[in-house]
Amino acid sequence: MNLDKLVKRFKSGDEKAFDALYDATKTPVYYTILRITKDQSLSEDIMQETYMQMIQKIDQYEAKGQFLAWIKTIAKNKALNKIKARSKETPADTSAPEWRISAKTSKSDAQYRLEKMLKILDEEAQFIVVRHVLLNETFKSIAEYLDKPLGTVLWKYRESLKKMKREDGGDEKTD
Amino acid sequence: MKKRIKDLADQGVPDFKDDIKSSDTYLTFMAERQSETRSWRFNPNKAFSGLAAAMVILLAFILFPTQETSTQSSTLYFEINPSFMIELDDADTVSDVDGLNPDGNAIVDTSMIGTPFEDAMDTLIDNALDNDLIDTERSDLLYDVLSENDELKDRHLALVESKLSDIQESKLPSMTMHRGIGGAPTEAEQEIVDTYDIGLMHARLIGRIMSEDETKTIEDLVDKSMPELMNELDEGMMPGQNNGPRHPFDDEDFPPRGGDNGGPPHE
Repeated sequence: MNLDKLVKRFKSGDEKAFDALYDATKTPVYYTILRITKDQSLSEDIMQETYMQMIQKIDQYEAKGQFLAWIKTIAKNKALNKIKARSKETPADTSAPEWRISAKTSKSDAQYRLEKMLKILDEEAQFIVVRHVLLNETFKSIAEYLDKPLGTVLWKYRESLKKMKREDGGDEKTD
Repeated sequence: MKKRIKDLADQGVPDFKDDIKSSDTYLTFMAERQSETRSWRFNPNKAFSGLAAAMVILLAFILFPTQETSTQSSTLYFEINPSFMIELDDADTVSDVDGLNPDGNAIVDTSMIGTPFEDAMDTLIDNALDNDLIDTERSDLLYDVLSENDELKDRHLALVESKLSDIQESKLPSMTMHRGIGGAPTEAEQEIVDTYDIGLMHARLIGRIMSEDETKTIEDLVDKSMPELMNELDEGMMPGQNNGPRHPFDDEDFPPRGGDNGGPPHE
């Protein structure tokens, strides 16, 4: 799906284009926010604000195939600002790694199951799976972030999926 | 498994679409944009100019009926880590452009539509170089051209090869070019592209090797470079199978052609 084409249609007032843009970006946007705030309720507020700002600033977006990165940057900045403002009132929680996606509050059943599946992986494997599958980041950028060879990241990703599949299959039998 | 994780993740995402669509911000934005579109459509001056232009064109067709309107086009496929496709009309102008993998999506730009092919190719390669998506020391580029019109296909193939030679000379002296195999990806190919974050033609070459050697798995092959894969394909051939020069993609059985995925049939 070419997001730039949808943006162009959205700018000319096409409501279906907004629906498609929202559906294509909501998951990476939401988990970008949640991994920073670790608070479901706060993440929901920030998510709505992110899309509101996207609408207001859409004319500033230059179509270069980077729409997802652009809206994730809006989401990330908003989340960091909220956390900064909150930390003045309450000390920030540093117990969970930066890339954990789980919320400490009011998780949905799907999130419980997802968290359970991810918990069987070590932290680096969780990072790779979350960044690639949920946040739509390329293996190349993940490898650069971790400062590891691309082949190592690819291998670890594939092994993680196999491990999660085994665990998920075992779970389904016992459920 | 990737789909299962995505499905679970999607289920955990609250849906605020309707809330956003009922907000003042959204409603005001839509009202303004739709009003701009309508006023453009019904502007009497513009409508008159448009009508006058249409009459001139109609007159030209009546007076000079020998010029035939053509809707012929070709689809060009490229892979140099970023994978992308360009649809080219018979005036060699870009009528569509799209990425075929994440890196491809990062370099395509809809403003290329309506520009000459050569300009669009320069922009795409420049974007890829600016984003550090091409290995300038050693890169392999695969390309192919598909069209229902053989004459147009041959002309566009020549145009592509000429432009690629220019790019090789001016921007990527170490680039090696190979004619690959184009066409829209099948569901299985798209899954490999998405899972392993590789280009479409790369995925097809891996599929071709696996179809010739059943002991090979994607994991054995996915990290190999294009020349390594091509060597592997040649080494894996049975004695007597290699009768003369053979292109790595010239097997009629692989990949599956067009049809069920709605893509154009491979010529």
